[in-house]
Amino acid sequence: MLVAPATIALMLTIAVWTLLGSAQPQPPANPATPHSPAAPAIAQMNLNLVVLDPAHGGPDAGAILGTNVLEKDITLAMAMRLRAALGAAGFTVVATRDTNSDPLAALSTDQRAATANRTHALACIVLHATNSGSGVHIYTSALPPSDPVEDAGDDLPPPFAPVPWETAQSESVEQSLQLTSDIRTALAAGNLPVAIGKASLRPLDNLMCPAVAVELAPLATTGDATPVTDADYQQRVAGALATALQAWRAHAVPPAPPTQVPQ
Amino acid sequence: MIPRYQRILFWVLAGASLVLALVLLRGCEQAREKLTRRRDETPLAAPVAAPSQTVRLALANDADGSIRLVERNIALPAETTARAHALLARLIAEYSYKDSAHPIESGPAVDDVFLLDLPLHPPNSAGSTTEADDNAAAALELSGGAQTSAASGDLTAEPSVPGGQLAVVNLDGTFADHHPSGIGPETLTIESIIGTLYENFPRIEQVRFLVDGRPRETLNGHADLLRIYPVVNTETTPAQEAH
Repeated sequence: MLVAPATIALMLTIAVWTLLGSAQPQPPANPATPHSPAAPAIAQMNLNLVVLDPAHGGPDAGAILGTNVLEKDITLAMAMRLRAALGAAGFTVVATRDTNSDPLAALSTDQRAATANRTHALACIVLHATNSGSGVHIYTSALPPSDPVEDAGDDLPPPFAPVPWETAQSESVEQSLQLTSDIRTALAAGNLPVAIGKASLRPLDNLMCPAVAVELAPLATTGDATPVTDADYQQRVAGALATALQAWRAHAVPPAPPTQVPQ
Repeated sequence: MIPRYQRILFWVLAGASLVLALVLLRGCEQAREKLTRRRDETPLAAPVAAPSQTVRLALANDADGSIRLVERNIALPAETTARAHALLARLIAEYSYKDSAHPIESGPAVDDVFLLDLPLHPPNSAGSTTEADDNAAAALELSGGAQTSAASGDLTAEPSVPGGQLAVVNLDGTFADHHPSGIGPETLTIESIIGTLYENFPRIEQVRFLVDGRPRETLNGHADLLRIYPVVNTETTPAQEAH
């Protein structure tokens, strides 16, 4: 008989505590980043997490890049190299497929995007390979950036706005372009030709993290072209991408608050 | 001393070898001419009754990832839908030439082009009793309704200019299956089609792609075909290169 009053008293205590907690003054918004699309997203990021999506897989072989050379194998090999390089740099890597789960690799692009979106990753890298062109092709979404969220007031949170699945990347296009800039710098520093472009591509358009598609093409600098199957070439690209993601992490970390000097 | 019958046999065999070699050479020439003739026939033959006119094609270049505008003097049908179909067929045919900067296998590429007035009405809207409304409703359904319309525009919203249209381009399945696979080549083909429509059909505001009459996720593994593309100027300068 004493259980019911005790339960009611506990619930009342929790309710009062919650109300008091919500009445606490909220810290003012940082005036340097007033509701720009990038600011709230970065605050929610897991700064040590990178999502890799080796495109294709399972029954989807992707492009045929030569005799017994399939795009799905190249993207998987690149993902393995990049995972090792990122692990050495202190990142946690989530891959949408790997060698051990290849029978499960028939995930749709929507399922891959959903996997990535649940992680709030620092960056999402979609890996592709081709025989067209030369060097490394970096693509960002062709979607236009979304409009900045209107400030609802000092004490009010920004109004809730649902994110359409088909254009989810719009929220992060500006960050993706900044990430592209870091990748381009790192690849150029490694003497790797880079081409930048925009494309409408799944799951790139559905990702809610800073995302780029990295397409590996044969390396034709002098003389014979180095094929995408070349292990050294893949390793160079993976190393440059890991360097770029380290630079991107450094850019994404919010600056430390100024030290209070005692009066 | 070689017997006479052996000498005769030798010369008969030598002559037969010579004749056989000539036959083989002629056969090879005929096969080569046949292949060459087929390639030359790839561009559309000009309709006899239509006058020639200057059109602008947005041609892609794989080497630098650019789209540039070129003018061609060709004959096209007067009816808008047939004109769009013929123009896109001509555009893809340009890519089947031997020295194309964006090579694509020859063959039929565009099965149909439909032009629909915007805004489209949902299938259950009141008053959709005309055939045009039924066609629009069917196109909206094929387009995936509100799901895909969110990608780049609302098909049920008023067009930005009066008389704005949605182009539904129905690609041939064989063309899509044999298109060079890769983000770059596939994106360039899509942008080439969009740019050509933009240059020659000012009323077309959006374009939707089907393959063999059905929605398909990608052209050949990469470029998104489920979204509705805005028809804009796609002319670009060569892609940035760093080294």
